[in-house]
Amino acid sequence: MRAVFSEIWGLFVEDGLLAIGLVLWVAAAALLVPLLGLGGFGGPILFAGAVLVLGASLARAARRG
Amino acid sequence: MTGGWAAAAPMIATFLASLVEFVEALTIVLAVGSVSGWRPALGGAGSGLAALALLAATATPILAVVPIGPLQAALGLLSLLFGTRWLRKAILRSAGRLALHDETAIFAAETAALRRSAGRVVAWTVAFKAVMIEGVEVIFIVLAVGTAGAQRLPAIAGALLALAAVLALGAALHRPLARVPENALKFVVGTMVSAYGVFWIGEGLGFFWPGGDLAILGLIAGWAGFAIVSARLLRRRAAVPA
Repeated sequence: MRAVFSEIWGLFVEDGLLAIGLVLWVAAAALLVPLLGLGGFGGPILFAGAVLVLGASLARAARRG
Repeated sequence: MTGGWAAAAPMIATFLASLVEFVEALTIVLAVGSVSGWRPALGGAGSGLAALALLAATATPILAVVPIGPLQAALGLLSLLFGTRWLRKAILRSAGRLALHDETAIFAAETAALRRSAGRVVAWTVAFKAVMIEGVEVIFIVLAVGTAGAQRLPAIAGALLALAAVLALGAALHRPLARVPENALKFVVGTMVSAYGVFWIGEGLGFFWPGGDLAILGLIAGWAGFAIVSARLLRRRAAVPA
């Protein structure tokens, strides 16, 4: 069972910062988009943030070699 | 969403994603079978499949009673986490920053480990564990892709087709499917599942998408473009001496 749970965890989380970054970004978008009246751009904003988080994770991996 | 595309896209995504997982399970079952005999290997694999069917049958009714908005957002987030993890790995491998997955090496390692610990119970357990672990991943993929987009049947069909394809090839070849271009599959699946994930999070949160459901095509193109450019940049950076 332990192996199954660790495999499930590994299915979604490999780079901890990528996973935390995406969760925080989605939470921030969920709060801020309606608050700032940006509903008309909500989808594209969500996408742009997710791309930036993945980009940051890749840049970090590249720096580490 | 337009009918054909609506059904085909989740089916393609789950087919390709499941193919990768089933190939990994098959590699281990074949290693067990060739060292310890086919009885414990097929027994363990069959029991793993039965346990998975039970798990899938209990998970589906639970999801049916959850409100669709939060469910879409939660499963969308899981899809995004899964998709970006694969996309990240595929980009880093394509840029030469990570070693490629080698089914032949895994087959050799599993075979050597089994020779050291000969025994039917060990063989049965290894086959059961491989099918269970990879199969649970497939269930999560099918639930995430199929439930959030209300396309459960095409998603299940994609996974079952992948299982049938891998079983047929495994039976024919009796050796690991090392020729499956895993990184290319991870690239495509990562792109598609990440696109679906972002779309469903937006839908679940009530965000506006330009073009409605067709925005998924734009998201797939966006993730693919980002992945191609990132891989090129990282490759170029790796080629420049420090």
